[in-house]
Amino acid sequence: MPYSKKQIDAAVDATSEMCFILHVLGVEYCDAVFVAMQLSHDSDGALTKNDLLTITSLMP
Amino acid sequence: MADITAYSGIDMADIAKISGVVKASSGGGTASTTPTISVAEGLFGFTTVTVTNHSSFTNPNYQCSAAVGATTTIADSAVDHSLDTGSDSVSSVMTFTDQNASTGTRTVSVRAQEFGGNIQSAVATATYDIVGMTARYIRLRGVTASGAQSTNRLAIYDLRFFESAGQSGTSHPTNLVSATTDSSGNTYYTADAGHDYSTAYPEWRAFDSSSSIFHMYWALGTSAANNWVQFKYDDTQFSTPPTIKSFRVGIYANGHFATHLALETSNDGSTFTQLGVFEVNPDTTTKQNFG
Repeated sequence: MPYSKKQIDAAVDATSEMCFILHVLGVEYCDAVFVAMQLSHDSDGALTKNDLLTITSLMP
Repeated sequence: MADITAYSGIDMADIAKISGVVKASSGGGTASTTPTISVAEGLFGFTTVTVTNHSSFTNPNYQCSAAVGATTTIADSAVDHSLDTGSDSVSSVMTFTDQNASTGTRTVSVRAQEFGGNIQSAVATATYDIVGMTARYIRLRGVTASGAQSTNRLAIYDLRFFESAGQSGTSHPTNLVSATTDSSGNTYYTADAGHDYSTAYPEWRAFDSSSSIFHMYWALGTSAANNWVQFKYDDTQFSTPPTIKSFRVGIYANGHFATHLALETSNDGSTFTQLGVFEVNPDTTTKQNFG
């Protein structure tokens, strides 16, 4: 699935840079990052309040 | 090497005359006790065979197979043997899943051979039939290995139920384009779920025509109680719901956390019975078949 910079930025903002880097490098799977990427792609980077709450609840 | 024309003074031609009269030895010894068996048939061909006189054997092994007429549906190599308490010998219980497409009653055959120089026993037989399910509502729930409700969410991009074993015969539901309508405009099924995260991942996406893993039902943020997806047969179109003998599920492994799926059925939509628990592999590329 291709992601735009806007979508990736939204996913990073919703999680954290450290989690995002560890996740995409395959060092440590982060469910919050996975979900953030999926939802950010769906909404083209415009995550809703509900999306953010869901992502936050999945943060380690 | 020269041909042998005589052995111990007896001409080979004379020896040839008695060939076939004298039976080859099977190893000698006394025949093991003939086992007595019981057979329990679960959903979609899951079968448990129990040797009920297991305690009368000394460290036995069992050979088990099943057939419909001359067609072997389960070979001995496909039978799972379990170990006794202490894990020092085989137990009385054997299990297998009979997914052979043959129809008709199966005959399961079991022989025993026990330690101590005994030869194999006479065969014991019993019969079973493949069991399906017939219900108005069919629900798939994310559960633990023990079948308990779990928040480990579902992510299902394909789910189909078949009237015959081995994912054959008529499949249900047809390809849905909404919760109540299929791609032909018929309203023969109603899809539902305990939890919908968003309109991007509604329940009917598990039953649509798309093979894309992203066109899925996703129970993101579900509670344990609501971690399910189901469909209902229309009362008019299906005055009697069909009997289902197998199903297929495609999961989006990265988004799917449930290690096991429970199959539940109901005829009133409120009281559901759990019929079986199926372990799923975290594999997106290969749809998983049961029954």
